Amino acid sequence: MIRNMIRLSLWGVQSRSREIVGELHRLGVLHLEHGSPRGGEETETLNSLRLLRGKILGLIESLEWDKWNSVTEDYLLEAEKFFSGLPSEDLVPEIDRSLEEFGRRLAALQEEKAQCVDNLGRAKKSRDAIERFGAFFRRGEDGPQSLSIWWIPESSLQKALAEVNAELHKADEAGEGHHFLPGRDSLGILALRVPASCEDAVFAVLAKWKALPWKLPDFCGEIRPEESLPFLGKKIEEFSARIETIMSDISRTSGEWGPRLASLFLFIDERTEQAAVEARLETGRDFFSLQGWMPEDVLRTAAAHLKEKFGDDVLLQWRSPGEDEWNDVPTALMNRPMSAPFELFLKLLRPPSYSGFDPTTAIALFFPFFSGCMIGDMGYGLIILLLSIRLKKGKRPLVRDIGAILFSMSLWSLVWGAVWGEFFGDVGHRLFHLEPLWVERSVSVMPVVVFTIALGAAHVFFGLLIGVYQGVKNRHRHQWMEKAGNLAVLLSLVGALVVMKQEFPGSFFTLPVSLLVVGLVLLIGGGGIGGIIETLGSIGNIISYVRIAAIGLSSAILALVASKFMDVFGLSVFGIFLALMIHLLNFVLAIGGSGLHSARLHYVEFFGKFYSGSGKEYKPFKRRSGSSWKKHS
Amino acid sequence: MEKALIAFAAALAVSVPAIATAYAQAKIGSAGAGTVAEKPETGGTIIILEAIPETMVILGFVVAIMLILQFA
Amino acid sequence: MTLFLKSTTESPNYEYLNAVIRARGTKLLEQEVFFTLAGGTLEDLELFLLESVYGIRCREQLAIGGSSVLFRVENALAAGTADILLETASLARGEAGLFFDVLLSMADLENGRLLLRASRAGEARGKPPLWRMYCVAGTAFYDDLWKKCFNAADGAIRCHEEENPMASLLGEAYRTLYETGSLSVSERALYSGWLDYWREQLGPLKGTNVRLMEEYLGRLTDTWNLSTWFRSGTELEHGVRSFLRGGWGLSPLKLEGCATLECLFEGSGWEIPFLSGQREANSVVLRKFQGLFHLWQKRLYRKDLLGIHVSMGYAAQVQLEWANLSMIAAGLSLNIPSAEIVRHLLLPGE
Repeated sequence: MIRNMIRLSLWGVQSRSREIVGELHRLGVLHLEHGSPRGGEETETLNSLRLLRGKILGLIESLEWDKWNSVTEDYLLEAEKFFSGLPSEDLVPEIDRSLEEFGRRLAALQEEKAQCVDNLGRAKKSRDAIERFGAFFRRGEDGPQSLSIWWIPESSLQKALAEVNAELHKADEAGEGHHFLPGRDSLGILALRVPASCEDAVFAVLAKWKALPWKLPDFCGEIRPEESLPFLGKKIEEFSARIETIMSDISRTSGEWGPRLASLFLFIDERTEQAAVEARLETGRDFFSLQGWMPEDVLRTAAAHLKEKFGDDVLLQWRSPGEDEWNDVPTALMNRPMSAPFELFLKLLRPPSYSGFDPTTAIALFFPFFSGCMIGDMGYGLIILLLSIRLKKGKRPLVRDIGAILFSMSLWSLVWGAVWGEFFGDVGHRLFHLEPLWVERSVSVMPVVVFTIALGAAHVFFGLLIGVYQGVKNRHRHQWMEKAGNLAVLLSLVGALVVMKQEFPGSFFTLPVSLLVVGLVLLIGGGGIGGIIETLGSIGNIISYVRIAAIGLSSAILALVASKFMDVFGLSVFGIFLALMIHLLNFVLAIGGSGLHSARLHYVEFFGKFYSGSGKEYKPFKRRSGSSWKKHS
Repeated sequence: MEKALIAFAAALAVSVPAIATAYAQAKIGSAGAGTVAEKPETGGTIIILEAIPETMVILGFVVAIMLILQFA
Repeated sequence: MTLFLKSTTESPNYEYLNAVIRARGTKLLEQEVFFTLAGGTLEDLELFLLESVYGIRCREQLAIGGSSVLFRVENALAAGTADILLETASLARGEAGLFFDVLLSMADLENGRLLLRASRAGEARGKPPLWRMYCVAGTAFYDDLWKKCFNAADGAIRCHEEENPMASLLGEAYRTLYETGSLSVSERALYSGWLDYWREQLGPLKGTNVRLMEEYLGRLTDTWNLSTWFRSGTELEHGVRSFLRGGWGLSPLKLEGCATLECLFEGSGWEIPFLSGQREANSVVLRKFQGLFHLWQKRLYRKDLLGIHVSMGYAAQVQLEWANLSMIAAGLSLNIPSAEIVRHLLLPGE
């Protein structure tokens, strides 16, 4: 059911605007309607609060703290108590200042960590390269030697070495010693040992061949490559230790400061929400005003509360929305406890318009009926019942809603199980001589198919009737004419079928013909050629309900297959195991398949006849609850 | 032999649309998952789009039943 | 970089990827938003970004980015753009992943050019420039090059230490700079290395999407060749203009033989609206030509919903949005009048 809404106007004394807005926030029932911020001091406050809120959340995110689930209302109360001492104009700068230093320290730590990670990587790479030259370094030569390492293109290596040797030969020196490591690309690393006296000449040759000196990382200072291994090992240990220390520092800070920052965030977030409203208030010299929508059923309590709290400092005025305002009124749903969980189905769509129809009760009626018909097994129904009872005790509202939906499904599964005479397939029949109340669906397919088509016709007709009702209520001539025409044509087809089956005498044929003529006139008047096409679509929609029979049939046969395994393998462990597996598969398919197809029949076939989803969601101005805090994580 | 042919025809009536539906639903489902991941409010529309090809199998099923009941 | 070289044997997931991209595409900013932002203040821009898709990076900058609003905004935009593109690219599978890598590695090309130019100048470096952070080789690598490698030799060595094909390509360009001392030759080496690398990767693949990627590379080659065509003899190596092969519309014959733009573009396939009327400066023509390349990519967004077209169009639009927002931020920080800022924007509708 769509709740009746009231247009509420509130006037208040300017000096108490913050208090009044705060109280409305706590009440959490008014869907505010306001324009853009009007500038001035309030907007400046709002903007600084938004920046501060962003900064706090940024710090929380930088600390990688995300335990929002652990935050309770007490945190918020604590923060409120702590900051309520501060004058409002000092609040933002004061908090901002204290966060500034925190942010700087955090940034420095993160930068140092990145630097250490980079250095560690480079130290490891250098160590790996040096280790591969270890044997070469250890090989000593007589006389003073110069050892150098170079990046050199593999293609020019041999020519460069030949030229180096020629240079040494010219100086009457022994040949060079070298070790080459091919690289990933065209460059490789060359370690070269030559007599110290020829160093300059050799380096000039290498430079000519475009060799580049290979260097140890900067942090190694002047240390020579052949002596660098122990130093690099020490540095690797140092960097690793430092990274670990920084990470544990950040983690400790996160654990310590995360909850404090979170409570500060929640406090500032609430203040920002309120400031956003304050910045949009219409103000006079000494008063302000605001407008919004409120469900009629909470009006009296809310008004009494405001009066009690603020006395004559607030003035309230309310009225019902006029027809011309229906498009602007937000839609709030309220259903009986039995059907309320089925509002879940509307969460996937935009809400119905205020003047529209809330189909929740219809879903609560038909959805479990259809899915129960598909499952149609008392054994499975019993298991679903137990499962639903467990889920109904869940903590999260979504889980409880799913539990309630499964509960209704299970009841109808039991009923339909009795109708089809199924208890884990034919186990009921074998053990307790269970007989179907109507037909055995795995044997008598046709009656079930006809029944489901009739069911589909009833459901689609109901949808069309709602469409007609909505059209008339909203004075949408085209809508009601099209839906009524559609209905009349479909009824005429049903009538014609009945007469052709000779259930009624031939003279009754005039009735369907008249209905067809009236229907076509309405259809063309309401929707033109499109209307006629929609009627053809509706016939398809009705046939689509055959899926109830089809899925039911496959479920029943699968359950029979499970029993067949017992027949084939006897009462053995293997036979029981196979039967159980088939039943498990069938059970999962039964819940999933029946739920999905039943939902589809509602979304496509039923809603298609009347639901427009053109409403505005009712979003009262209220404090965030635990579940919405989590959205920040 | 005749019964076998009828059974084969019925099997074809279901299986061919089932393959076609599976192909279409795989494509639509994949696109739908992508859309819903970004815009959860499109969930209803996606269900409708995903459901459209399914009608083929239902019609195939009806034809198969008719074949079996009429001729077998 | 894990993004790099995803297996192309996997089936591409264009349905999923394009659906995600099209849904994300609705969050791209309309041109009215740019007008409004250009008419506000830098602080307004920051507040706007705080509640936009750049929000998370904006918050990070507020927390640890220091006190300069312009610095915070520019960093948030650069990092936010990278987040959007890298996150979207991570969803691509099979050939779509490879194609997305081609688009992302354009950032490596641009970052590499910045570094080569800075090495040529040989100046002591200040703060690193705002890198295109969606690059394949990683921003830390380019930062490191900027901070520690002041000449081409150091740059080449550092690049060869990095295990990434894009770093190797830049390493080769650094080597060329080291060996020849010519910036244009080294830039050419970077471009040709990049293009050859991707052409080799795309080689074994077939289909319309690969053809589109080849067209992309061809059009990019055209932009390079046009810039070379504009160069006067003094800027060239041995006075010879060395064009890259594999252009899309500008044939080597025309590039060598034509003396006017009209002759060059005749029958090229490029739709050049700016040739008629008064002749503009080479730099302006080149900028407009690059704008056309962007526009071509942007228009692909609606062309084939089951191909790489959507990704290419989206990536172009995201980059365009970044460029525009950065332009607005810079303009506002310099108190440039709103109309003047707007005049320089590349607006989505154009």
